[in-house]
Amino acid sequence: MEKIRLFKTIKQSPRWEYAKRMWYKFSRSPLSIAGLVISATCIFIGLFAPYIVPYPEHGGLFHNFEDRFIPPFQNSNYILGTDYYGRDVLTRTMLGFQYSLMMAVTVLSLVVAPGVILGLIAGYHKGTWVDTVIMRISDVFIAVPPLVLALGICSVLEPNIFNAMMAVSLMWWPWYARLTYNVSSAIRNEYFVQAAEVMGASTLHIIFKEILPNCLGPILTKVTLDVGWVILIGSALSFVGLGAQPPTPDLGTMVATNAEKYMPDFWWTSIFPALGIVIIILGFNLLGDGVRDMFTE
Amino acid sequence: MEETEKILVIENLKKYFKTTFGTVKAVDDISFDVRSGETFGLVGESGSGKSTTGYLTMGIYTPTAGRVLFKGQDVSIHAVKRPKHIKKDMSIVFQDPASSLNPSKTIRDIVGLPLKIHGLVTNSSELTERVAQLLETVELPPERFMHRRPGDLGGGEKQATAIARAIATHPSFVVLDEPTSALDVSIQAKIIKILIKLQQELKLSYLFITHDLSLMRNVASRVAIMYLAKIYEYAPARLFFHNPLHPYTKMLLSSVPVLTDEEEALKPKEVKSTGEVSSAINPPPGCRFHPRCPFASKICKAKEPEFVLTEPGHYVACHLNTKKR
Repeated sequence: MEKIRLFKTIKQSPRWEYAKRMWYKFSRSPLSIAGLVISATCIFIGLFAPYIVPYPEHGGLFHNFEDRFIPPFQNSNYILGTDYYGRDVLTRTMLGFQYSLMMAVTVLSLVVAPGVILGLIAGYHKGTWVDTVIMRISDVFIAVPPLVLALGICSVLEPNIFNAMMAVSLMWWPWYARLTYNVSSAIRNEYFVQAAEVMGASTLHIIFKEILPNCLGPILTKVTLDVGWVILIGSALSFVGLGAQPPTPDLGTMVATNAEKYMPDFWWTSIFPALGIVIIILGFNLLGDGVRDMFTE
Repeated sequence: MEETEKILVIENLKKYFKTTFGTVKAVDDISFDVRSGETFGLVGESGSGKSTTGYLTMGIYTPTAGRVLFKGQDVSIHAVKRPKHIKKDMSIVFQDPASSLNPSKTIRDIVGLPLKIHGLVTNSSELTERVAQLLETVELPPERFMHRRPGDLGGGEKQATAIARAIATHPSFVVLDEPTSALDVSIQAKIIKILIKLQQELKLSYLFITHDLSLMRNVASRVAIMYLAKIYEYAPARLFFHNPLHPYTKMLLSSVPVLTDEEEALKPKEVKSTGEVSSAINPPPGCRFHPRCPFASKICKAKEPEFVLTEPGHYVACHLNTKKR
């Protein structure tokens, strides 16, 4: 019995060691740290924007024509200036983070699980009809250019943020299926999978306990990198008017409507939301690179 | 020989793989048996089909033709379809210890997996206790290795872990697929010692697959030699090394590096190692060894040799021996 207790006490330390090693690999590059800081800040702003912005009411149909088109860095009340309706650009940009991140989280949570599961099933059954059916269906979706499919869906259905997210999700899952398929079909031939099979482990155990943990590295890397991409596609849809509609403080919509009407005289109304998009995408891309480093030797 | 003593019987086993270049005959009509408690050595060059034979035995592949009988039961089916008690009773140690352990799991989970599958432990602390025992049997201090991951281990330690996993369910038969060939020479001896110790303690029967003939001399009780998917000679180890009959056996034995004069004296002198193994897709007609055989005659190219019994337990398939009789 004493022996068992001994094992339990040391049980935590290897996990801690493992985590420390992962952190070491991640933190070797200062860019990864920068990515972590930027994306953490973006998430913080996204989560708490309505409580920390100077003028929460500026997110909607607010107007105060007396304060319209105040240039940035001149009025301490409106650091990044105001737009046509006298709304604070800083407030609207911060609220835009919320929409963008919500879009990324929604799309990815819809997309990752089915894509990964289908990829695992196809990878485990590599070379059989199961593999063929799943992978050919995903090929059909991949064959259509993503933005074109989303444009088509949004223009046929009502253009709003919900339909935009559905359209993006529909074209996004095959990438996860394909990534997971590639990794898992290679792992499927490793001896440890065969060992588990010979021992009598169930198919579910083999797929989720033996194969999946070894696919997590590439999947997590892709998830992090995709946050930026989903936001970019969502912004692009809004930009062409098929995503979020005004007065929603969506970054893409703000860039589009303001650039169309007020560039270049009132440049700050569209440049700062555009910078917001750049910062989010940059942050998550750097973070993704760091996550990739973490999972490579 | 009583039938009950044979733990594993291989009958006319064949395994063909279809590839874009043609059908590869990996194992082509071989038969042998492994007796209870013995170490049956299967030797041959790379690509001779010895590992495939091991995989067929374990059900990793399903045979194209022929039968695998384990304790009298026909198990010529894929491992997934085999009854659970069969899976519990036979296990395998793979050649590459790096690939045979899941890198994302701890040693405790890896060695504990067969215990969990076969319901041999009821709770977590029992599992820990049992895994600790198993690690001690393979000379790994449990407190040091229990919660490590395979990536932290050396080659010998990984292979010891794989052995601990293989014996976890108390099987009676273990396939050892070149268990030492991927290891440092210094560690090989340690692993072999552990395997021999386990065999005595647990009354295991081994199907020992290797290309290392000097290793065979030390561990095997009977040896079969494979060349291009076929067995050409099989005999008790003593006869196999003192009185090799097939030219291929002689060739391999003459190419073993030796240290002592005693070993040197054992070496067959008349055959030097030459040539390359022929293609398995399009094997030579007749005796498959004839393109490399210094004694090859017309009949060797035309007719496949049959097995003949030359002395008790010693079988050889070679026209040279047929003619003599």
